[in-house]
Amino acid sequence: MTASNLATAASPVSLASKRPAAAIKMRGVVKRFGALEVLRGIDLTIERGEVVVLCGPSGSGKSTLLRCINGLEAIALGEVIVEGEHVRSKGSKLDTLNPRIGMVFQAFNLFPHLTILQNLILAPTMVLKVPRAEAIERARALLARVGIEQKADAFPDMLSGGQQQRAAIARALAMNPELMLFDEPTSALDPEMIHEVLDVMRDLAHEGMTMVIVTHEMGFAREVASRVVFMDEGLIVEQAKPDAFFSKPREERTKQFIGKILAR
Amino acid sequence: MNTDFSILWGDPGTLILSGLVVTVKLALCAFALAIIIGVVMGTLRWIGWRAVEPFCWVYIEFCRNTPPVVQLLFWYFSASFVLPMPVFMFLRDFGYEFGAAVIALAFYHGAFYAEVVRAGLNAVPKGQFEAARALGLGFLQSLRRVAFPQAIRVLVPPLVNETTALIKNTSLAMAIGVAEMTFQYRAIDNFMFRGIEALTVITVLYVILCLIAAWLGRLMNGYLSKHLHARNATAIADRQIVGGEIIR
Repeated sequence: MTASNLATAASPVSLASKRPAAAIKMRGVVKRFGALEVLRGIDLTIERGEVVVLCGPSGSGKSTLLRCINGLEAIALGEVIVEGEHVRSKGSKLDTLNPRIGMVFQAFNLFPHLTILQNLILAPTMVLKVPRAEAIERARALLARVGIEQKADAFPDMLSGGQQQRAAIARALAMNPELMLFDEPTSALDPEMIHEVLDVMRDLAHEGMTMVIVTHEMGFAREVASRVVFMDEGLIVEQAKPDAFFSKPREERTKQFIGKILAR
Repeated sequence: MNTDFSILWGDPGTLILSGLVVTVKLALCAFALAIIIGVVMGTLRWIGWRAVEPFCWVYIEFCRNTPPVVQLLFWYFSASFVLPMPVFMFLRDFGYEFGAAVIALAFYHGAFYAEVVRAGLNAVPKGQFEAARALGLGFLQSLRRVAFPQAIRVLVPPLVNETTALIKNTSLAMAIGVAEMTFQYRAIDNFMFRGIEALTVITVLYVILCLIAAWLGRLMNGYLSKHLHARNATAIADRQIVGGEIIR
């Protein structure tokens, strides 16, 4: 009995009640690349279960903002708090990042020398010390969930772009992340493959995953996002629920941006 | 002057063989140490870690830009200044010249290996290492499981190149009295006046040693890209299956 009590006490479910309300809290975040100030004071709070879409012209700092959340980039000023913990990264290759923050990249970044299954079990077995058999079982379940279970033993370059990105999402999910970051996940894909990836992301959103997504897919943003954040020149210009954002933007800069996107 | 290779069946032949053994030992020891230096230094430079960057830079530039003979002489003769005399004498009785040659060659070629390793790591797309870290893998885990396996394919050909240079440079160790092959040739020339014969033989032996190194490198490359070929084969098979399904 005691043992099972201990087991439940240590499980993430009971920890959930003690967790802070916000999944991500950013205060006064400034990021510089040399003399260039890419983020010029970002304040952003993201609640658990929210799906936030970051949009804006290229060079506005949205990808950098995303990379500051898991510590791939170090910030110059301000603070980033994820699940109550400060993200303290020096932005060097030596930092170990929080394994509970999943990230999906534009270029997929699957490991080409490993099979899809090996890609999925690498981090769980090495970082979380999950027994191999258990990791494989979970990996197969995840691959089935993203619809590529038959590709488990294939190498990444044998898959289509859409399949690779779905495998990359499954790889991130294999770490049981508390939140997921998506850095332009469909920008490198053919139009017909975009949908298969967006479908997986939509399912994930419906399951209540906290997601921060940098994307140019405005239709997807409108449909799935709980909030749209518009950035320009390193600042958050406007944020609103998708309906309000697209139909009645308040700021002039936002109107311009939306006008250009809809004119496409 | 007449040449007479039959003399090699006597003492000169034994001398060359003992020289060959020393050459191989020296090459293997220097190679092992140089590879360790190269991997550590190359990786450190690749990290771009500001604290160690100047140190690595000084090491690599010093070792790359001084003649190997000078380095051999330096490691051999500086020891008598740096080490206390009894320690030096003790080392000398145990054949310090061999140790000095190993250190000098390892430091010299280690600097080149370091640059090869760094270039290999740079050839791995940046996103690969980022993806590994984003999954929570630590620095060494990411390096071992993600970066190195991909870097090594790019790395083998220049590594072989550098290793043949190392094998050839073992001949310089005769400058500090290591009894390797070239040293033995000199001995044969001085005492038996059979220089040409001995020189011919050691030339052939050096060629064979370097060819063996190149062959081992090719073997390693083949082994590393084996599953690359397997992968392509499966990819073709896969496509055929897909094609079959379409026909059905």
